[in-house]
Amino acid sequence: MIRYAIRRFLWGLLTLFVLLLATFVIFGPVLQGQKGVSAANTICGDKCSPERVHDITIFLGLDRPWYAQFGTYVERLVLGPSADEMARMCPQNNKATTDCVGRLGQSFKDQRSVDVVIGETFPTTLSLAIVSVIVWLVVSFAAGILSALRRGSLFDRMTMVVVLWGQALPIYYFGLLALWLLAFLPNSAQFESWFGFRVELFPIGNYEPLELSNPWPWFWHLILPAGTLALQFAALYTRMIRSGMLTALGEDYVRTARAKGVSPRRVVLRHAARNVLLPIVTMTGLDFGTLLGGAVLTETTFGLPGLGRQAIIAVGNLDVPMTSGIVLFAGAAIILANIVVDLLYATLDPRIRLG
Amino acid sequence: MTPLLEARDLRTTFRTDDGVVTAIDGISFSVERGQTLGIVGESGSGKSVTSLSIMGLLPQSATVSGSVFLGGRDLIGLPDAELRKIRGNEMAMIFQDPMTSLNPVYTVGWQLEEAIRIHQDMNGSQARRRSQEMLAAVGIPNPDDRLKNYPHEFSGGMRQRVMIAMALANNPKLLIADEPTTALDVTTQAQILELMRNLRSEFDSAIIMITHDLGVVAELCEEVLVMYGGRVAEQGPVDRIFAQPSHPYTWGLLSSMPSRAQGRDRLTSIPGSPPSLLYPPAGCRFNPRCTFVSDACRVDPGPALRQVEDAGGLDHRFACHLDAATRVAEAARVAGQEPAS
Repeated sequence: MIRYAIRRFLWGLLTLFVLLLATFVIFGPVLQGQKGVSAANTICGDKCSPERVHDITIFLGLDRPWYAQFGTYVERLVLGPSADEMARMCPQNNKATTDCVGRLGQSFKDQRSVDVVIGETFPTTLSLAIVSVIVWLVVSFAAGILSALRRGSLFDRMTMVVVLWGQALPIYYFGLLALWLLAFLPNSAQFESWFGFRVELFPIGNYEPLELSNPWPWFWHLILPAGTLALQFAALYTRMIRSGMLTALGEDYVRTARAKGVSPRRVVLRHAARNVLLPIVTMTGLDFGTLLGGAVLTETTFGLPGLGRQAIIAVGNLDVPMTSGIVLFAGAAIILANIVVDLLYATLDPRIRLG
Repeated sequence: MTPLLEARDLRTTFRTDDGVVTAIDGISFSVERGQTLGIVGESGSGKSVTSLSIMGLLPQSATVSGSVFLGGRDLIGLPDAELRKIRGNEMAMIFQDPMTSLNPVYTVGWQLEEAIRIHQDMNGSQARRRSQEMLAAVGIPNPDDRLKNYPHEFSGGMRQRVMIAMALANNPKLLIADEPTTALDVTTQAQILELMRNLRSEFDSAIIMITHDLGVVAELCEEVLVMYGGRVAEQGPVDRIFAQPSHPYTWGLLSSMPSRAQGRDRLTSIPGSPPSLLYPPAGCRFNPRCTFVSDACRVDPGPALRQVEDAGGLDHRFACHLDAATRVAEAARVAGQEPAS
């Protein structure tokens, strides 16, 4: 098991390196600049001093061939920015020098460390991912198992309609609908003229950091975005769990359990659902890993300052270090999720032998 | 003495999209303590449905009527909560395919202990000891280690032994075995049959052996029920039925046994295929395939089950219109094929 984990981890590192190279190759041409104009000039803007242009050129290695640039990039990623680099890239009046250059470089936009920006935005994304993964698992297990047990009933058919709906319509549709109906409308003059009062049922977007002493504001801000995000996943998962349960309930081992005199509840939860758990664990792990790289649509719709929205902003600004930094971070999250899923799967399914 | 299990006019129907299917059409039989009843027939004859009807394991679409008395109590119509106390306890069942009958994600020990602890007030270590005893009793070496193994770490024959151990763990009065050897290879089949024969005397359980193999019946059973199209074609003591089979379908079954066909070039088969239970033929279910068919056979409700005339006090019944002279002559011919055994 441990040997397998180590090997799996080393493969993960290799994958990460390939990803690193790929992002570098994709974003590289932007750094080459246009028709003789140095990219450093473009990045720095019109009012830039020649010294600053020179610093940027040295920092990105723009005066050297691409493989040397890549070498510098990897070296900085592994070892961290050198004191020399920090002194070069940070304005003299900036005391907190680590804030302006990180392992992933410096943002073209506002001379901030990419690491720091990711560190600031990631908690939002992580919160969103955790709350929605809990919501969609609870909802889809309950709905999936119940509709499998009452196959063909009104509940089952209603669930399948909602599932189809949830899968067919995009997140920004549901997001805007939820914002309008649950956040904007109850707190509008229109609402007051109808009912004589107004209420701030949900906030219109935005994010509140988690305070352990009072987690409510954090949660309150996450209910609508996490619910919207969860709906899409819950739809898919409900369908998977329902069909998995239908298959499992028809298996011979379920009949054996019933023949032993096992109670219906135990037959469903211990014998059938346990077998459905395996594919769901895989899917959850991978989906969660993907979400850690940022839920672009949800974060944008609800104005959450997360990684996904940061990525959109960075792309819009042609902010290469920021974009490739987020891509790399998201990739690392997915690779890590893959490793965790594989290890978890091996412990959950005794038929899998590691080697 | 009242029999351990007595089924009276058992009838099972299924609601399907195409209409009502009568899978069992009023059958009656009984099993004494320590005795083995064989139920034989082709696929679709209703033999598996019979066992599932007794166990109460049929899907919601099934309706069972009639009565099945086990130890004086009628199981049909018993609420599921009550039936659950009997299932796996007073009566237990083993199934056809041992490869899929055990839950792949739990250890064999877990599944055995579950079976024991549902019905007996035992703590974990007592249940584990009992599980060990049971694995040893069914001839699995190193039971202590094997309890920690998962089903996929056992061969088919070994899994069927585990199933038998699980079924017998609570000393059931009745064991229903639904084609327990069909999915196994021939050498393993013999071992499992041998095991069941030994365990029967050790645990003093009655067995209902469902099979399509008359060889199994000859080896293991005292009584036999030959089913065709959801009805009983013939029933009685095994020796008697092998010596004087009285139904054309039984003749067909006996003639198609490989062990009885020695010295002949080809096995005799019964022409045609089993009847559709959704649109069964009028009269005797077997009439479209029967060599001896007459007009009387095509009239509903078909021949009634009646006593064979010269049974010598034994309970040997059959359901056929054929005249006695032809029947006795044909019975002698079919029985005469038997090699000295």
